[in-house]
Amino acid sequence: MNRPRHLRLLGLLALAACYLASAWRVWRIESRTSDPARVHLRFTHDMLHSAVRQAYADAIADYRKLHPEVEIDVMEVPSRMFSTWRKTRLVGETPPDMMRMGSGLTNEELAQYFVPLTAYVEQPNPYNRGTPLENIPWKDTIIDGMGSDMSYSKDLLEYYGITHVTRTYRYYCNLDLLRRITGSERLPTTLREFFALCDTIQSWARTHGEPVIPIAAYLESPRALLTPLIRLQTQRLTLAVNRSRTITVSNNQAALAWLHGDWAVDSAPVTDGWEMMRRVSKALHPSFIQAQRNDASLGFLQQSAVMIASGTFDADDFMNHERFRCGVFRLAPPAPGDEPFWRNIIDATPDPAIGGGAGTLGILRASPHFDVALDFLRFLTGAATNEKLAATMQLLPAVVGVPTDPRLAAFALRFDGWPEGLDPQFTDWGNREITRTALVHLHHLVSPNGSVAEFTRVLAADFPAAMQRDLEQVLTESIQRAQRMDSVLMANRRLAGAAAKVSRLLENQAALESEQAQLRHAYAAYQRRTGTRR
Amino acid sequence: MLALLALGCHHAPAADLAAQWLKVGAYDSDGPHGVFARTEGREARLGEAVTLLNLQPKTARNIERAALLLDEVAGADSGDELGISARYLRARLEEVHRPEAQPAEAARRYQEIIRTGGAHPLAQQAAVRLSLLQLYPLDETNTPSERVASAEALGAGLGDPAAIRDHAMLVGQACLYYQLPLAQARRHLERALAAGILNPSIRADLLVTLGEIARELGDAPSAEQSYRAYLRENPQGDRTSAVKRRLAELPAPPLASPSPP
Repeated sequence: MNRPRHLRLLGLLALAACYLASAWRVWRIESRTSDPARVHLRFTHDMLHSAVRQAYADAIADYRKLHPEVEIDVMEVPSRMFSTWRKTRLVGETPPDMMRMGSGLTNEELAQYFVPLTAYVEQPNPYNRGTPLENIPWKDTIIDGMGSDMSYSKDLLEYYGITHVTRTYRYYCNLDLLRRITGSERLPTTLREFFALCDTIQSWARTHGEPVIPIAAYLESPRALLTPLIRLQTQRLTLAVNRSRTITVSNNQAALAWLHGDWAVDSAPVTDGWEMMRRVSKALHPSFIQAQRNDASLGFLQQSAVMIASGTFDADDFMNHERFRCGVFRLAPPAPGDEPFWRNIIDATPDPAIGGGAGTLGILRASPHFDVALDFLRFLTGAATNEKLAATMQLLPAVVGVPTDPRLAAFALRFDGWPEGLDPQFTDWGNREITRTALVHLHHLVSPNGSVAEFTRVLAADFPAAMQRDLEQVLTESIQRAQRMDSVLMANRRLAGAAAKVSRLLENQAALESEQAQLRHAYAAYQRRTGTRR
Repeated sequence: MLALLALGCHHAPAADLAAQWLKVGAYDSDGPHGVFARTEGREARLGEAVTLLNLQPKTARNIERAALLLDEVAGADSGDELGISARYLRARLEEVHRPEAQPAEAARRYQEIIRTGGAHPLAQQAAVRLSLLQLYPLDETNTPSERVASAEALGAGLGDPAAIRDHAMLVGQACLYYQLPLAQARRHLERALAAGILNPSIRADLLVTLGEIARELGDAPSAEQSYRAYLRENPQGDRTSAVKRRLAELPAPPLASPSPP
């Protein structure tokens, strides 16, 4: 009889303890935030690494030495739930002061919830005083000139995000395993050496009966590993089909060229690109399409793969442990004699735009402390802080002239080379039908019995329908954007002092609708030519 | 009850309307719509129409109601600022807001605004909009050269710098799209650049395009000028390395012949 009563009492006590702990926590936060003499900032990110945690803690401590009245809390939200969390906070009007930018933010969300920083990015960053960046506008102190989608909205014509750290993609290589297999720790410096190394590893694994593969990969690997290979092969093709002569092409421009009949999935350079993907994919585990990222990382760490392609963000996990020594290299482009691949390329590609969402923060309109939040972002991107921050995070600095931590030398951003060519898989474009179709048929290319001919045959059959679905989605979205922009334009016309903004909006509207009209026109011509009106 | 209804519809001070326009300018149509709808006056009717066009869910009924409101605002005094704004938006409604676009009706309305609007910036923008409709018709009734020629004619009378810029850009891009002579495209694009491009990414694209066109035309000095402008303005740009390479590959200028002693 007594036991259940004790249990009930215990339960009640536990409940009361929880209640008191929660109440104390709420009171503590309330008392901190309601003290008018103190400023309490909060920011959110999803880089849940211990090194990142430490780096932010150090930066905050350094900032508080200068501004002891400011308290800063870091809110960590796992990547998988970040979008949902963000939406809930924005709609519920309970966002933190600063939040990491990233894909999935709509124009409406940006305009309604984030503060445009355009007026500030043209001013020098005071935390660069006494450095060569002292009198340079803030935006020009960031290595991409704040030109990435994460920083600058081409639709809203405003700067919103400040990037403070970034990453590049490289191949990590298990040096101990490499020595065991090849007798040397020499990393491949040419494409030919890379292919030869993959062959050597596979042949060694067969001879020794060891379950070792050359490259650990997973479902998303084609994006980081294989797509850049084909976009290298389409460099010359892109120059030939880009009627706008802008050197680079967007997916919209690539679609225009396809509608004109200027290229197809079985055009020679594209076929060479598929062939290159097939050559590399032979070095992956046959079932990599079913694997998750953690499986691939684990495979590499457990030494069942000699290499893995990943970003700087994995450097801490892959390089700072006792299991094996790890080297890093950048895959070299084809060289003269590497036919058929050499004929299609102009040069190695520079590292892609730096605006990785996790290292880019924006300030929320709801923040009661905009000036302090802005000051903190300036602090993070001041040359001295940025060097320390990036080194501790084991990521790359985003500020011009700030040296990369020597341990990450192999990851240092490469700006030289020629931009990537068109992407025949139209990654993440429209309804993602082409991306999905290419992925669904990928096994025809990468499986041991697959071939480029079979892959292009099945892809070419499904490509036009996928293109039409994607294109229709793109056109629908562009019409919706035009509709929204009309209201914004009319509103700004009614506001005093907004003439310059109206002019910029009109310019943007003309540019967007010109491209939309071209797509619509080319699509109509394509449908007439092929009799494919849906 | 009547008193309550009367209270619900009122003259809002100009500052109140400005606050609503500010919200619409930040992509918020839902909140301001109610305020505009409850407020008397032509400006409030314009605001009601503007917000109706983006009220969610988007319905054909809202579009029709917006059209009626815009006609009402335009009908009272179609030549003033509010009237011309309403007429311009009415044409846009036919062009992009209806479930099925009505390009012919939009073109008719733009022509009317151009005819009667004179130097008003929206009348000048109407010429830009009409040019776009003429440049990319969905049928094949005329040739690309004829389309570009009719758009060029529309641009001849423009005086507003923003309209000159946008029109020249559209026509230049159409010349490239239709693969008309590069010199023709270049003329328009240079005019756009001279009018002053504000968006840094559009300007960066334009400088690269002009450099590439000049290079193809064998005009190395002009190509160099455009490439250098790109590099100056985009020291960290995504094409900086490529443009440097282009610059290095340009033929060296011929040596000046020595002057006679």
